Amino acid sequence: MSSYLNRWMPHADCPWSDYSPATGTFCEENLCSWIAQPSNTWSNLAFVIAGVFIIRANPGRPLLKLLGHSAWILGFGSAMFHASATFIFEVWDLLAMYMISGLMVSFNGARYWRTAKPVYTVLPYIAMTALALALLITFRESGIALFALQITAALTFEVLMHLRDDAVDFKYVGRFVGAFTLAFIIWNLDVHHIVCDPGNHILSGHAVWHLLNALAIWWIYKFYAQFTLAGDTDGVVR
Amino acid sequence: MPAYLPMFFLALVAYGVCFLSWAGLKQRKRGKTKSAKYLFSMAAFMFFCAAALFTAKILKSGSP
Repeated sequence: MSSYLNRWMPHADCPWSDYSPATGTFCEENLCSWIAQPSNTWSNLAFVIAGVFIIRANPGRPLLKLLGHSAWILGFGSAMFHASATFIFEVWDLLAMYMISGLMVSFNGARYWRTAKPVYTVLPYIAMTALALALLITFRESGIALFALQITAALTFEVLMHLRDDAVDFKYVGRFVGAFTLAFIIWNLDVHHIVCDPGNHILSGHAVWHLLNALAIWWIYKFYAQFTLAGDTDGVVR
Repeated sequence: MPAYLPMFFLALVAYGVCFLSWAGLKQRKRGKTKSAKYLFSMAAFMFFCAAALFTAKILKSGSP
């Protein structure tokens, strides 16, 4: 169909064709319009909704608010990335993903080493996010691999704390793992074109990945809400 | 998609399966069978999901 862009080589006359194309390609075929991938774009609204809810529920808890801010930044970044299919917004999208996974690693590191000083959560968080960003810009196609590595590190800490018999309610982490695993399977089925309908611009596999991950962020927030985190002035468990 | 990515994910899955199995064995030795079962189930789930995905990918394209 002439209105469609080729997935691998954007058409020269389309709205975003002056920008460097994204390295990531998905099942949904690009349209020659301001919104190149409609399904992959609208589904990011779920991240914005989750982020706003988290921020509103935690006025006295700066690190949980940071999780909420990361969620809506991810929503906007990912929406722009899928609307434009350009590398600049792909970096924004991945940076916001690293903000969330880096925060999980920092939270868990602070819990594992039982440190209450904010600096021991915030500094590793900034360092990890900056390092991931630098690696992404240097090795353009390392995006999802770095994210998976940080999630693995966070879950490794969680299992080690479980072995140490920390008094923790793991109900929400179980739900997070379930949602994230299912989402990652669907991400793979979509990106490798195993289950794929390129002309479906309403609900693609990647859109389901977005929706399930927004749910996963909500559950990971509910999990961390049980702890008193660095900088909290309101430690009420919600 | 870069060629090293499937190998990277394979290594990550191998690490996850080994680590969760080790944690499960440790819990079983301590008599915490419920926790051990949960950890073993996660390891098995991870293994089978990865195996199914790689099989599907190989069947689809002829290479991982």
